[in-house]
Amino acid sequence: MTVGSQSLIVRLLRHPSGLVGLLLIALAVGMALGAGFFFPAGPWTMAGPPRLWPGQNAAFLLGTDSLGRDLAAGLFHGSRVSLAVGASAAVVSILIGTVVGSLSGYYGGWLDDVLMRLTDAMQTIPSFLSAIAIVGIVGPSLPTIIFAIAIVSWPMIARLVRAEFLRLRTYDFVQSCRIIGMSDMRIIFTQILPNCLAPIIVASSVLVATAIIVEASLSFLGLGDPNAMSWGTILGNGRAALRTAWYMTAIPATALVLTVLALNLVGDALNDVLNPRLKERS
Amino acid sequence: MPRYVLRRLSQAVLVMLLVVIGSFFLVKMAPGDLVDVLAGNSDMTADQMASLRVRYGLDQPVLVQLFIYMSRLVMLDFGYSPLNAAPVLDVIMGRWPVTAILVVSSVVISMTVGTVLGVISARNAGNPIDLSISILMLVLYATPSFVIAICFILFFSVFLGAMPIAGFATVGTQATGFAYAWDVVKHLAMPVAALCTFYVAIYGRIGRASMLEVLKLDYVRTARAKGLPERRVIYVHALRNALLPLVTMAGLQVSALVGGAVLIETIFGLPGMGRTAFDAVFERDTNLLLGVLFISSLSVVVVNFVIDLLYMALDPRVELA
Amino acid sequence: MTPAPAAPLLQVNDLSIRYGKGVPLVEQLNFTVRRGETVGLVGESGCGKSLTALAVMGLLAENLRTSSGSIELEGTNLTALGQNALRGYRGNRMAMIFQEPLTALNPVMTVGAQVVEVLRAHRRMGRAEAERRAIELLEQVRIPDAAERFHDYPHRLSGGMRQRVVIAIAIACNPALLIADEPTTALDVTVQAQILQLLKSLQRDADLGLLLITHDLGVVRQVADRIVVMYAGSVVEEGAVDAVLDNPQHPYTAGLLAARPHGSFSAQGHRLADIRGAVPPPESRPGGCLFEPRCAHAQADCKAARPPRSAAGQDRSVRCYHPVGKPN
Repeated sequence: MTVGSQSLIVRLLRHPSGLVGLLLIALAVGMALGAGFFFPAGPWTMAGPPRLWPGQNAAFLLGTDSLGRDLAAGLFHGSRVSLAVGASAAVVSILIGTVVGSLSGYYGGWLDDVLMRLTDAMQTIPSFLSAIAIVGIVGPSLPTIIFAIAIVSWPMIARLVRAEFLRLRTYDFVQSCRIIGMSDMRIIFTQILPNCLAPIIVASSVLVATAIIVEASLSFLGLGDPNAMSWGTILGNGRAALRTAWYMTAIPATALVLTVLALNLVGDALNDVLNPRLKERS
Repeated sequence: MPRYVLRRLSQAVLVMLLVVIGSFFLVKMAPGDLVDVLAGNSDMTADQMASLRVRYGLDQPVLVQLFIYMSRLVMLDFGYSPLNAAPVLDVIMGRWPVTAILVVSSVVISMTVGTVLGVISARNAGNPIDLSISILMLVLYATPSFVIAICFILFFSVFLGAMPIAGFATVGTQATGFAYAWDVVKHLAMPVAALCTFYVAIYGRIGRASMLEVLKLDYVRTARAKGLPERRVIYVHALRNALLPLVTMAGLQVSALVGGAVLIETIFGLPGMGRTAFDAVFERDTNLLLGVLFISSLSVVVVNFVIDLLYMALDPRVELA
Repeated sequence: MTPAPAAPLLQVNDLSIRYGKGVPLVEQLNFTVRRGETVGLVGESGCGKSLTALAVMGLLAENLRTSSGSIELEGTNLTALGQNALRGYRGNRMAMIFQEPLTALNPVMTVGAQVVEVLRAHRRMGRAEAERRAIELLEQVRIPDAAERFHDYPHRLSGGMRQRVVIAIAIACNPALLIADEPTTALDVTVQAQILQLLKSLQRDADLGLLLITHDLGVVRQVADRIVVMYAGSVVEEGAVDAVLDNPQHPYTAGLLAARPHGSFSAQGHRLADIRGAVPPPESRPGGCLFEPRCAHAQADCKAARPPRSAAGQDRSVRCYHPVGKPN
């Protein structure tokens, strides 16, 4: 891939769904960065009267929850948790998935068999079930949650990378690297992996989106980090007051859906930009 | 054929073995063991706890315990669930059907609806109908099932008061036969719909792409050249081929739905496997958790096996070597 | 051969095909196919041969349309018919064989079912009767063990066998016109001859009008009665096969003939002449004679206007101001 990262972003901005997606993501990132500035008291402070509807009080634009905590503060600080967990879990699962996929695809044989059965097994246990089992057993904390999400999502990347390796390892340029005596690791890292980047990048946006949903789901069930106010936490708290104060659920739900939507839009755009072959077909 | 089936079977057994070993060690990471959980519910002396540990084999080295666990699994003995004061197998057998109903109806409904939308979209590619379906797909694709579930409850139960909010059937209902079935359908409609939406979007998107691809192929042109009615060209010639990638998707969906059932069963108060797993995690009922992980994985393996056979039936090109 | 008195089987008059509202891909196309006659439609790839065939069948892609002219089959103007009416002709009065037998059949249906389907679409036939007839058809196209092959899926058959199935489908309803678009290009050389022979004998037995699209002049010489030479979306020369190939009038036809290898490999030293330049894309076709930029005989008047169709002997026409052949 000869495309520099800068021109990739420019090309994404020229793509309609890429533009909308990137703008929404920029908004979420802005919220995460600005959380401490706009809401220095943090999301847990009982700042005002409980159950204020949005717009009822100018000091609390998005209203307050059952304990009088500012929902806007929760939303801003929650974006930190969502984005951080989403991004870190995606990075970890890409690392695991790439290692497993490369070894499997490059060496083949018994190693491939073993790793692929392991991947099968990981995909067989319903992933959200394993996630709550891991978090429940090891104890809810952000690192555990990130680890749990990464553990259940790497198989997808592993399969992807393996398929690319199987395709690429037969190519002449790889064969000639072997002939001139390049080491396996060098071939993997300098020759084949750079050619798998496009599909990995496309998959990563979906990976981040999924990780954000899983984190929100865990927090919604009360399995989130008790010290981190996440969108899922607000959703879970709001559920009890659904009949009387549905805005408590609607606000974090909207943030969650828009963020995931944005990541999917960017994923679609990346797919179009990085795979011209596919674009031509559609 | 038998050789292929044998190879697939041996792979499935290997996968289940890895699932068993993996889940066993996961559970072993938990602080405290079964006896601690039992002791938490009653006054037990250290001596009594020690003798219980001997009885359950918990004083043995971990690998021996694994071996004992696996040999008991072969006899379908999942041990005892302190939480339910009953054997794990009995608990699971009571809860399994609820999840099975949820998952099976979700697969069937989402596949049907998604495919239909995908085909409509593909046939109208580029016009407003396609655009609106595509936008709907994009939104459904981005909305997690538990958010959909809450929206449904809010709209249909809270605002309209039309749907029961929770449970498998009306509590204390005396209804039988059709009336009972209708009661259950009303209770399960929202949970099933909530589980479906994400997959409606997935099938819709794959279906659209796959249909567009197939419609360009030569044999579709041959079918048209034969003077067949357009309906037959689309639904007999194109659709059957376009369905193949969707069938592959169904295998992955089943596993994801069993996981998603945790949230949905919790929200709608349904006594299924997902809810059971969640309770088992909260109450540290490790035997029950292992049992649920095993049975749900086994169901996924079996379903995938069936789907593989189905795929071969649908696509004669897959040779059974 | 006695000349057919009635209207020709297929008459294409001044046909133009456009991409949307853009430049025409095929323009002012004229040719006829008579009952029981084989017409070879030749030209380089991209000259609009296949497009013409698809237009006759009413199978042009949605973004392509016939913008002027008419296509008359047995006196009915097909371009004026709606899709529903046209469907009654396709597979019934006219049928088509495609270039690529490997992809022309539905992979998830048995070959038998694909033959039965066309019979039942156009004939009131019960399932059992249609199956019997389908097996007869498979036998007619010389597929061995037809009754057994009936239940096979396409991937079990070789390319040649699949092309036979495609032919069986095409002739199932006794069409009057059969269009074969490069039917042998994708096949092995030995199989090519068999398929051509089969087509020829089917054509003779059923008095079919056969429109054979090909770029292989040898094939045309072997099977066709008349030849229509296309260049850049237009017909440049038309006439009886022997007359045209032995004495080409249009420089393009002459060039095509010179570009083929003559005789056997013994003529190794023989240099293949080829036509300089390439077929111009539709948007940059010249204003005058379409072939002028590549023509060795071009003169000033060739640049000025398109040459009209002029008769060049009996049943023969050419679009050229300065024909190259011997005068007839």
